[in-house]
Amino acid sequence: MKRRTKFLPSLSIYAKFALTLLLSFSLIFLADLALFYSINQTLTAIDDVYDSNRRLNVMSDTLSNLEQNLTDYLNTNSQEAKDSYAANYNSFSDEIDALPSLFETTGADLKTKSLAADVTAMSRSYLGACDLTYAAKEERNIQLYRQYYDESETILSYLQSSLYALNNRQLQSNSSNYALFSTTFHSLEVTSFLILALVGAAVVSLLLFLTHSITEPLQELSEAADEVSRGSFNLDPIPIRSADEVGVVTNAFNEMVISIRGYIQKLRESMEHEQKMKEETLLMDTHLKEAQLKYLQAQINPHFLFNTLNAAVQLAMMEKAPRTYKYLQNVAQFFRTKTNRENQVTTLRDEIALVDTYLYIINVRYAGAFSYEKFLDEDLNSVEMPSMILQPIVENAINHGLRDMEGGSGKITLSTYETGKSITISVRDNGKGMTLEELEKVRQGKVSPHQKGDETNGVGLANVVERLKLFYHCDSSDDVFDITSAGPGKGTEVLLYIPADTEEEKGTVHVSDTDR
Amino acid sequence: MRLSKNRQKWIVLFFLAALAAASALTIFIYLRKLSVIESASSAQETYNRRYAFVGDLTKPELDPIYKAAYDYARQNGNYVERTGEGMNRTYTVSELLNMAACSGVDGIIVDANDSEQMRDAINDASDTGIPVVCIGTDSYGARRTSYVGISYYDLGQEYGRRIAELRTDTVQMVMILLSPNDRTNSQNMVYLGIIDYIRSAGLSGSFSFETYQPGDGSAFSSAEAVTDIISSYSLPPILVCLDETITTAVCQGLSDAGKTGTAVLGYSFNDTISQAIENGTVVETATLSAEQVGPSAVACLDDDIERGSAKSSVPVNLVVITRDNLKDYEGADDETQN
Repeated sequence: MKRRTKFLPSLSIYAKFALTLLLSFSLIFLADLALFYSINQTLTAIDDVYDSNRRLNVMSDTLSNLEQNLTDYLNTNSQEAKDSYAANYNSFSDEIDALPSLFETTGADLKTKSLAADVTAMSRSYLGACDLTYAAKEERNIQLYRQYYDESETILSYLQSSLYALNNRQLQSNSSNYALFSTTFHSLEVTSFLILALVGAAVVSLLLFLTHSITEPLQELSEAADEVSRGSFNLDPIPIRSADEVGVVTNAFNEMVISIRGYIQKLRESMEHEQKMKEETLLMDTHLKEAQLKYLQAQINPHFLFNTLNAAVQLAMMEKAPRTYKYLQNVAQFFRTKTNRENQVTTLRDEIALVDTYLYIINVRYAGAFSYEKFLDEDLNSVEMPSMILQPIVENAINHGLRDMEGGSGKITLSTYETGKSITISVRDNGKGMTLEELEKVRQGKVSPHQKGDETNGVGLANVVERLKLFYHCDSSDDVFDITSAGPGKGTEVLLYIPADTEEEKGTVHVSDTDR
Repeated sequence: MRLSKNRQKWIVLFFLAALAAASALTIFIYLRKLSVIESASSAQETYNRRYAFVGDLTKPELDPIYKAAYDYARQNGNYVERTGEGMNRTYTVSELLNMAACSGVDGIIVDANDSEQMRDAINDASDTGIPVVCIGTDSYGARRTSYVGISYYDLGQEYGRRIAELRTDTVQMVMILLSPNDRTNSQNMVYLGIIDYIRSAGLSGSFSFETYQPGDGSAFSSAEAVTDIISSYSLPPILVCLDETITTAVCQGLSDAGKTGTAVLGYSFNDTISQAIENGTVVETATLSAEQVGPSAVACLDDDIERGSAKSSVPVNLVVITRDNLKDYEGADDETQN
């Protein structure tokens, strides 16, 4: 499961750091730029405040110099004074021309403008008086230039007083403006400090946020790795918050955990399967050993009995008793077969041969009380099957179905045939039969002839069915066994089913090499 | 409470956006404030014509007249400047008139006198094409455009009428305190008005008249001389003061000395005089109607410039303030001072 955030979703850690630093730098730079611009504007305004005073002072100085130059010239005829007079005259003229615009642009009040107009008019009057004086001086008319000079001095007095008044008024106005600018500038200091503090806080927050966004997934990854190292693989996938390097590592870690969990599950299933196989083999061995044990208990040393029987066979042959000889030979064959059946697997043919021998012995014992009929599919004789299967079934039929019948009327019918995917072995008797309840109890394994204390060799029907189930890996008894009866007095048929086609399974029909 | 990652991101982004907006707004407000200061200092006021108001800057009775003239001129888009104000030296009224003529104003209002210098200065200004209006006192023989003011003879008649009301069975001495700064005939005209009224009323035997000029006209000399009169003399029962400075000094001196029994007839009106009227020290005070003099003078200049002619003489009413009508004028002085 991948869950990605929308904030810087696909940037590497380097790019995130670079972007954040760039953003921080830009923020600080813009704040500084704005503050610098504001300060610059303020300083420019403050610089301009006293500009009018400065220019009026310059004008006043020029006027003083002009008056001094004129006086010097009148006194001394000095060329230097004359030149200086001309220079200051021109400067003063320029300053007069610029005066109205100065107070228009600085936006003086009416009184200041009026004073400026006074100064302008007086200045021109003064320059006019100077011109007259200068011209009279050139003409060397001493009386006239003395008169003009006196007039110019009077005007100069008015002019200087007016200049003083104008400068003083402008100074008051400018001082007031300066105080306003100064107050505003102080407020800018406070504002600048607050903005810089806020910008600093924003940059720190941004960096903390970035660091947190990087370290938190790492911390989650570290905790998950620690849990895995302690053997716990049942973790929820770690959420992937970004596509950076941490996101890639987190994704790989999630997939690694899922893979390891899958391997562990497969290994566990494999071990459980192997354990089950071992348990099945062990159980089958247990049942076989149980059957063998019971036979051994019943045989009272079969080898000793077998040797004894062989001695009796030889004795019967020496005494020329052929029927005894044959009987003893069959008994000896029966026990020999029993004794040699140590292997679990045999063929259908051997099982049928054992049934033949058994029935001969029984008929000798009961004076030919049981007839025996076989309907065999010869092709099936080589089929492999567990040993000690058919003889106990036949023995059961005789003990429970036929023993109490009138002499010579009991009959055993053995049939083998192939039905679909299985081979069926039928053992039918015409004995006393069974009720439906009895049949059901036998099918469910609740009642068996063996539990009733029968006189067989001790291998019960339940043992036969269990071994068939284990051998052919069947879960239900119905797959390998069935018992039917038309009712009491109408005989009983036991059906055994052997799977015929699956080669891989252990229960597959095997054809013995020796039979081919 | 732990915030979700997404909310944290939005909070950070919101914080940054708010910070940027607040900073921009702060800078904008600051620059706006700066601009407002600059524009406030550069409020564009203009005028059509510029007139000069010339008078003795130490005479407070001229202040309300100047104020009234200024207000009237502004109503018509013109401006009246007070010549000589804020300068680093003191000039005589004649010099101030020359200065105003030199400063190229469109017209001059002058608190004139009957001196030769004044006459020359008015003639010089008139020769340069600047119309001159005299107020208060006319400059006889000068080429002024108009005269706006009261008749000093009428003022004397008013004082005479009041003095007649104050008569008793005994002969009372009336001391007339003349202004040392007035070099004109105006005070003579006032004196003549008083004498004529008393004589015509047949009360010449009830009063004896004496004139006295406190101080020599230099700064502060009048106040000191008045103090000497009040402390040294046996005060006459009636004092007539012919300018504001003397009237104010008398009122303050009588109050400080705790002397009563002298009826004062004053000139002009201010807080001290008002207080003296209230407590009965000053029987009455006469003054020009500033509301009439200032605007009338400006109107004469306007008429001369716009129409080429103006009335040669514009009479204004004499205002007499007593305890009976004091309420009507209280506060008026404050307004004129502003």
